Amino acid sequence: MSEPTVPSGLSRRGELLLSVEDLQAYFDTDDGTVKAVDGVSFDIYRGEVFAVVGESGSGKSVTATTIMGLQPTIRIAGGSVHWKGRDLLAMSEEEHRRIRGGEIAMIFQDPLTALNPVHTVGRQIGEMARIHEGLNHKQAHERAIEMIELVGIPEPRKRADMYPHEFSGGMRQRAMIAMAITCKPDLLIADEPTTALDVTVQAQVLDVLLAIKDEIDSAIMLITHDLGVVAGLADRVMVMYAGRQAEIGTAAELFYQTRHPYTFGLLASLPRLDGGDDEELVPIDGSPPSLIHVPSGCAFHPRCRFAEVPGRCNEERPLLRTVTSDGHVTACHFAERLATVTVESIRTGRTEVGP
Amino acid sequence: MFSFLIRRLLLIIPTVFVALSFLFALFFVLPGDPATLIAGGANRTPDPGVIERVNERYGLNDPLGEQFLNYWKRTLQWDLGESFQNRRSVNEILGEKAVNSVRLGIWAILIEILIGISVGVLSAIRRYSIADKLTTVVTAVASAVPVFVLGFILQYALAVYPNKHDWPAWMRLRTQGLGPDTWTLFFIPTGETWRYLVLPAVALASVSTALATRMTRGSMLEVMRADYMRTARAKGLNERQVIVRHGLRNAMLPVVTLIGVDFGTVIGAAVLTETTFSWPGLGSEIASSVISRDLPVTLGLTLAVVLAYTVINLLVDVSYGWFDPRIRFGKGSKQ
Amino acid sequence: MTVLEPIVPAVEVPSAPARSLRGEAWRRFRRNRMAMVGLAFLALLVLAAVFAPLITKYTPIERDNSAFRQPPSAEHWFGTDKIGRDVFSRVVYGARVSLRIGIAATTMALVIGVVLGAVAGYFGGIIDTLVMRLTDVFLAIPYIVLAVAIASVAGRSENSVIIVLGITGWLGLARIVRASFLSLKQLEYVEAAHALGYARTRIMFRHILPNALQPVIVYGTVLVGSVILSEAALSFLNVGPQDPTPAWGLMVSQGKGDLANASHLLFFPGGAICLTVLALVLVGDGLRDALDPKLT
Repeated sequence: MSEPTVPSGLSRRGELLLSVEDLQAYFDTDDGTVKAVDGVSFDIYRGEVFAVVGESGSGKSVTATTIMGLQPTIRIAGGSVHWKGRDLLAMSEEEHRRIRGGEIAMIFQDPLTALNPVHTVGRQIGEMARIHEGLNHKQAHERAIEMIELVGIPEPRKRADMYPHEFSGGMRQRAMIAMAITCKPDLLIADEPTTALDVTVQAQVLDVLLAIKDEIDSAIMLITHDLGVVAGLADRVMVMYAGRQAEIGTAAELFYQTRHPYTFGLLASLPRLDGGDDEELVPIDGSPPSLIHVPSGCAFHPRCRFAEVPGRCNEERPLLRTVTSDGHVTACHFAERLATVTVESIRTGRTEVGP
Repeated sequence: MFSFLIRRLLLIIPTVFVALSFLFALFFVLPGDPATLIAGGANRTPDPGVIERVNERYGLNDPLGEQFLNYWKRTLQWDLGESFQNRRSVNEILGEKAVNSVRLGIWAILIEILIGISVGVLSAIRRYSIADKLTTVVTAVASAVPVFVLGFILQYALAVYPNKHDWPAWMRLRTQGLGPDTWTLFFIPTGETWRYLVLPAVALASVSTALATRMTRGSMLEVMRADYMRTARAKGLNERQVIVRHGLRNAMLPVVTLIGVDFGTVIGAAVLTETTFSWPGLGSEIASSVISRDLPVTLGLTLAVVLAYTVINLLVDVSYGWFDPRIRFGKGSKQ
Repeated sequence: MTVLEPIVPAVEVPSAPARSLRGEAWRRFRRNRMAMVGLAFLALLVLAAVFAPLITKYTPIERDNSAFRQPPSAEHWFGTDKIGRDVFSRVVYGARVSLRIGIAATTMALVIGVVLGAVAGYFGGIIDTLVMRLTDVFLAIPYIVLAVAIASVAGRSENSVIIVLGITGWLGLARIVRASFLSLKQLEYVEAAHALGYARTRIMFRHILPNALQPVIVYGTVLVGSVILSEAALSFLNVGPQDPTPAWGLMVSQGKGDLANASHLLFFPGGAICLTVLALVLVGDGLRDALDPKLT
């Protein structure tokens, strides 16, 4: 791989940690091949929060679990995943296992089901240090207490000996975070970390996540369907649709210089705190496509209000191309036309675009 | 946990009381005069003098209420009465037969736990393999074969046939009785005794083992799909550690309950197995005492079995608390 | 769940009309090869039991004094027993005994279990507690011991076996029905029926019960199997039907001394019990899978 160019708009220029190149990850089922991830490329640098956004079934979770090697039934049809320059997909299971948890750690959506109900929280956190750092039982327990304290759970010594069901939802997710950061990983993959939580504790958990990131100097890959979560947190954002990339850019670029109709769709369906009461939320028409029979051309064209059908949109799959800056990339044939569109104009229905 | 135990114990007392009173009533209130039975059986007409003496001796002339009270008074003092047939103390019979049943039962439950759980887990891990399919078929068939039929199949295949065809002596098993009845550490057979133990133990274990295997397999398959198993993999544990440290204990939860509830099946199977293999235990003794209408023996031994069953289930409940911390603290999870 | 989950909703699943639910279940059942084999065997068994006189050359009690303990031959397909009776005929007629006891005892258990379960679940409170404690009491006495005890008092006959198995077989059913009633009675249509002033028994049996039937059907099928198994066990312990009734368990018991020299006396009736129970287990499994596809 050649020297990567660091996208503009990054607040800090960290070390390149993860580099995904044209990843194609398929499931072979009785009904056909599910193209869960279909040609996705992105890089993640130390110190940044990289958000992956999309609806259910857009391939964002599969991308993450493929990187983690947690998809035993998946078929890698093409592409590469490099971790600090080493090819993750070509690595032996044993090598991959050492990276898993140690260098790349994952936080799951529902901390109640993701934590083992029959072991104490302390033991589950300490187990991380036992496998990756070879600590003994007692040392691991001390480390667990330290971690629990770090994520802001009061009375860590007492809490370490409690079971997941004795924790509240927010506490559980903090425990999950404590577990993930035990070995100071370079990359934290957080898969919908706040979706299962009450709105009131979502912000707290996200704050903890951010503070921890700086504390251990890692990067975060934040997977979410909620652009609202992304807005305050992410440095860069990748929008996925039907297993493909729609748009990548800095958070500011995506929100204010949107160049993909699907991103517009997501923005228009997002409630805004500063909006008036009469402001209408515009859902995206239709439902996500089957990943077995992906629409021809641009996968989004059947739901796209800007699509030219018949025409390029349903005939030619749009390639990723750079738009407003080096790091702002989109997969839309008519990206330039979207320059005049605003979220407000979509909400009010005035969506005519210039030539 | 403690209050849970107390509550469980308090429930046991009325249950056992009603169960035994029911059995008492069954024998002493329903038609079929016990004295006539003792004196000669339903088909003969015994001397009225004999009946009178029998009624006197066993207090059968007293009003029913008094008989009932006396029965409980004696039972609470752990005096189970004496056999109608040979006047032996039922306590003595119980002590003698229980030892044999417990020895047989220990082996059957060891087989159930060892084979049932390990085969169930392996079958779940290697789902869709030949071994897994074979397990499914074998367990389905095993749960449909009556214990006594299996007993005879085992007797034929491993004892009768080898004897007929002059197999080497060390391969031949025995089918009837206890043999030399020599044991060490209470339950480990010494000398030739094992030849007598193997077949009844396997027969007795068969149904429960099949059940435990199916249950373990199903439970393990469900656990393998659990989120916390994925978390364990994401931590960097290898597959063996994931299954042993995170899967097994969760998969055991329903199986533990099954083994407790299933103890009733084991007792039922013991009646049949002991009869089939002439193993002188509680089961065969209860069966033969019922047929010879030796009521004190039936009642006394049944009392012992009911108590044992209740205690075992209590122990299972307690161990369930150890397996599942959510139970231990007396509250389930809300979500 | 695996990460595959989010993908599933994306695949369009046409919603089937509710009308074809039963047809759908039957279609699923038919696809289950093992269950169909079981069903076919049961059909054959019922036919054999009904037309027993047509397919047997001898009656089950007729003795051939020239043929004791004969191995299977063209004349006696399954051989003869120790007093010269035709084993094939006894096994075929034995199907009548087993089916009679199996169906009668299961019906009895169904009635007791459904009524007690329904009453407990519907009324709750003290009635519920009483019924549940009653099942505890029955569960505390190992069931075969209870069955042997009752049978010995009630007399050793086919009818007493039916009664014994009927009054010991309802425990599981009552629990299942109770659980269904507990959840169903809170549904809106039940409350609507209350508001309309329908009688409680009408609501219980006309409105709630039909919706609680699926598990009862599955459990009932399995229960027939376990009743036949228990019947064989009681016959084997000699507290069931008496000679010359051709009960399978009794035949096994009578043949136990002949294991070495005339094993066919054990093999055929024993095999009949195994196959019948296995067939019922397979059909029960098939029914459960067909009626409740989410379990598979």
